[in-house]
Amino acid sequence: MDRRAIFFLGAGTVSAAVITPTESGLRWVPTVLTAIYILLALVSYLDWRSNNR
Amino acid sequence: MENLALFAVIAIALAFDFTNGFHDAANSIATVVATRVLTPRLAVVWAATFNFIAFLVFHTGVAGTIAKGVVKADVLSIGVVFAGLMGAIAWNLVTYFLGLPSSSSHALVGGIVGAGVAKAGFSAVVSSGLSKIAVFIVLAPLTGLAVAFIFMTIVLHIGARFRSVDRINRGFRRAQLFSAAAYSLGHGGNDAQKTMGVILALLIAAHKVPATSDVPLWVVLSAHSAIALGTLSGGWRIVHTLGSRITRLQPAGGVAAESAAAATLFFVTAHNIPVSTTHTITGCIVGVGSIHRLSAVRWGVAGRVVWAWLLTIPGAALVAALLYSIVSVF
Repeated sequence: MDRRAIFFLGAGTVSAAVITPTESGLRWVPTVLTAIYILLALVSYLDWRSNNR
Repeated sequence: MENLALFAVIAIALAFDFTNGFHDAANSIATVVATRVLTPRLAVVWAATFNFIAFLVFHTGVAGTIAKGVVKADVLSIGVVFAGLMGAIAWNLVTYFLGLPSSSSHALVGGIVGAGVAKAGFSAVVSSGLSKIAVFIVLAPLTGLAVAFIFMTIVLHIGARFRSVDRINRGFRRAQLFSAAAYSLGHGGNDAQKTMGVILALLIAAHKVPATSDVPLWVVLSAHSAIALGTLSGGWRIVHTLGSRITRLQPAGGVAAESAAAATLFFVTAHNIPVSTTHTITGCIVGVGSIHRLSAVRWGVAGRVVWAWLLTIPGAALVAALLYSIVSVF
């Protein structure tokens, strides 16, 4: 399994976990970060899979 | 007597800003030195200059958060601020000699919280302000990491077009001067304001200025001068840890890391949030290092950094609480 994808997934999970405690005006920051990290995890995984075929 | 104590604690606050300079400000030039774009001496002068002129760019909202958003204003006294500062300075010195890039900012927040709690219990804490700071302890490095990763991806795509990473790196050597300057500006803007906030809190507690007062100009200039002088004094242990031990950086990576850190710091400063500049640049360096593969990041060192982060607020709070207990006897 791609370690970088797992790392980004972990970062996305942490970002998602702080959405609720973030004050409402800035809640979009962890939300956007979560989306970015999930996207990066997906791209990393696809990149790893294509390199390992 | 009170004026003398006030003067002494302001001097300690500026000394803290100075230690912040040699402890944290060196981060601004870690990548420039690691990639040999500037000599260490020139890099230090470059960073100090932009640390100083940051007061021309940013408003003083971060100072307001420190002065009124960590511990309730009626709890603040000269004794509380003194114990908080001394706790933060003691923690900074310990991590400095251990070569750990921990956060001076969180040491300060932890110190003030610890002294405030020692004086008036947990009700002294402004929970909304503290939670905002706590959330960005996590978000600042994660934001920097993501932005740096994206910037580095763009750089590599440009490199692929030119079909020569070496050519790209040559081009980015000069660009790194601007990214380091932008980062130093962001660092000066956020970190110097923490000292301004402490001094503003002291002035309010001593009834020298009204509670609604902005930061006086002499406080702004003093804080920026102290951090710039601290930067000039260097902080090579930390530079070495960040610049070469976490991951090796090329000029293109340095530009990506510093630009990402500068963008993150500009954003949080505009939203009055005190963050750790150390956390931010470390996240950015990890972001750049992980673009190729995660093994490019030296996770053992990064792990020590994380431990230092986790321990800083409770560690500084504990030291400050102990100090306040001693101070309050007198």
